[in-house]
Amino acid sequence: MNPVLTVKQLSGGYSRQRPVLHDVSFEMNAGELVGLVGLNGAGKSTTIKHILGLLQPFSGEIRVNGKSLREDKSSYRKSIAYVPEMPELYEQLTLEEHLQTTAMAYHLDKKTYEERSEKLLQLFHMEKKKHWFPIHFSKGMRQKVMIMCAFLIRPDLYIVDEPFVGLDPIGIQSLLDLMSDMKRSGASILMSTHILSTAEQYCDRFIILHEGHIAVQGTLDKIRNQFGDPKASLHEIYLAVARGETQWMK
Amino acid sequence: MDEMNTLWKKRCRDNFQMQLRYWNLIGRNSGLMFFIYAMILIGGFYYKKWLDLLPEHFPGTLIVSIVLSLVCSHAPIRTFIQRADLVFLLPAESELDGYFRRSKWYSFLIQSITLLLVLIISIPLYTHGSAAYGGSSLLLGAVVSLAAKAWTIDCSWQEQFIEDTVPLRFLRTVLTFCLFYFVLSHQPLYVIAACVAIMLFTLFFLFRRQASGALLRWNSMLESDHRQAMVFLRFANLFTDVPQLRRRTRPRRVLSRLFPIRHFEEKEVFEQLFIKTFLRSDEYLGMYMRLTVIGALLGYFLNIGWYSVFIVVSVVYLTGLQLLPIWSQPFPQALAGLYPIGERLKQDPFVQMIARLLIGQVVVLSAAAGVGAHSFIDFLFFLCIGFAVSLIFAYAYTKHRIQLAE
Repeated sequence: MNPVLTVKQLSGGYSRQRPVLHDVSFEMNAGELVGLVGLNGAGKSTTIKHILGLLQPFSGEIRVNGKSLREDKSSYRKSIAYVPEMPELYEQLTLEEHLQTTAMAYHLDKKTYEERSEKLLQLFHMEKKKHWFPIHFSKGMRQKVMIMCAFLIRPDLYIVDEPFVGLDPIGIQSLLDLMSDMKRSGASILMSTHILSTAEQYCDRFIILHEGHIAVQGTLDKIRNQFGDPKASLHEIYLAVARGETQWMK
Repeated sequence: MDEMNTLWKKRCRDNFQMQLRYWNLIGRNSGLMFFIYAMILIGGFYYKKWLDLLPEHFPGTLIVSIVLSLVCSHAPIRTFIQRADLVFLLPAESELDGYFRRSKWYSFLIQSITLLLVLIISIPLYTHGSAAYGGSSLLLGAVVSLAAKAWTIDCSWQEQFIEDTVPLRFLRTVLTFCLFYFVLSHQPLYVIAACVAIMLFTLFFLFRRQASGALLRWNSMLESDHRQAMVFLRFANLFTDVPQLRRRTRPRRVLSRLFPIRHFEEKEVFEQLFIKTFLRSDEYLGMYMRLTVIGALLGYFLNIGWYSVFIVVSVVYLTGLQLLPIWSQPFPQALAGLYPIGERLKQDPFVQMIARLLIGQVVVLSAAAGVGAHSFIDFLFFLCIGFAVSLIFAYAYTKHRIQLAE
């Protein structure tokens, strides 16, 4: 089976003098939920920006469904949906218009749009706010708009950056359910988060980034075995990596 | 506190340098600058002609007093307060006296310059009614203006503590008007003295009394400072893109409904975005309407025959220039930056929208000028030239500009 996302020996960052990422390689298969974990400044957001094509890799390559951004810009972009850490919305569009423009940009037909948007609005309890402007939304509600826009288009790959912050408990549960649904229907999801207990429960695999390198990656069991403690929680392993206790990795 | 004074000086300097940079850019954009010079020259010429035509008993003193008191009473304090100060400077509020004193002085000086300029412009109107002693009345006017401004600034500062300032602002405007009018109409000294006494009395026993014990209203102070900064930035925005313009949005539900999504297709994405931006954000729509109305009135009333074509062309040009910033309206990267849509599907709708808006304006302007001239031929002439200019502006100039911006 071809992987949905291939990141091969990626080095990158904001300036060539000081690269943030060093030789990062991983793959994601269809139907996988992968957790991207790391301290602040470990390179999670930079990795995401590279995958989205907002930053140019210094070396290495990124492919989505076997194609790089340069080969086919339109289909590359169409295969990805992104939920950013800081919700960014059009100040001049209502919630409903956000959903409509997203649907049009990603070539959804009207009927599909209506079905999906109605379900999403119900799921996140936003039906009554369809005609509101983002200026009246709280951080959590803005985040919900971004999530709805992403899940409206049902792409092959979701990039979700720290999605739980600011969401209410029902919002978090709805998001987790949505992700499970999408996974079941064959989509891959790359989720960066600090909420390790939730990640442990839902993610199939983990990539632990430390100072721009992949410290360790694999299923939780595999990482535990490598760590030498089959009962260790992700939290403990993560702290060990963050403290620089890395001898067990070799 | 020394640090606070340094902070104020730094912010004032930053503001000055920011303005200087924009002035530099404005200076380079000579087209619009030339238009403004021309307007000033023409305005001066007509002002003089108008003065010569004034009847003997024209109430010049009254009008000058009204104008001066209105300009004088508009006295916001430029504090250079920033949003983050509500968190970081709030604990140091008691040490900010020196900081705010500088702000008051600064506001006084800057606003005095405007006031004196208005005074100089209005002196001819005043002396016209009351014989020729321009020099002495200018000096007298300047002294009164500065005194009134100082008083207003102090009142205005006290208002920063007071909840409902509308009646107070009205009161001080009326008192300022009385002072100007009494002085300019040569009332006896005791009338003027009484007016000054009342002003000082209100300052100490109304403004200061209400303010003492009240809390400084940081939020309204921040808003006011923001508004003042915007005045300059909006002006600069006519010439160049100002990134930090924080946008305001109005729903405009009825108007928006006139532009629904017609085809649920990708080529409509940016068309919708640009139209909704034009309708709802900032003052694009307001600017468009204002310029159209002004142009139509000028065309109708000036009635200068075929020369009206210059009115049509210059209004269209000005409108077009001010529509251009819609292109660089910040579109959220997480959405628009990642849309799987080609660049053409963004450029074409923008150019088309500019063309349509300008053509719509040309129709209104030509109709007004044509009706003013009672001539259908004139109307057609304006229409043709206007269409040509609109199309050139949209399809040549705008297209070129946005391609450069990419």
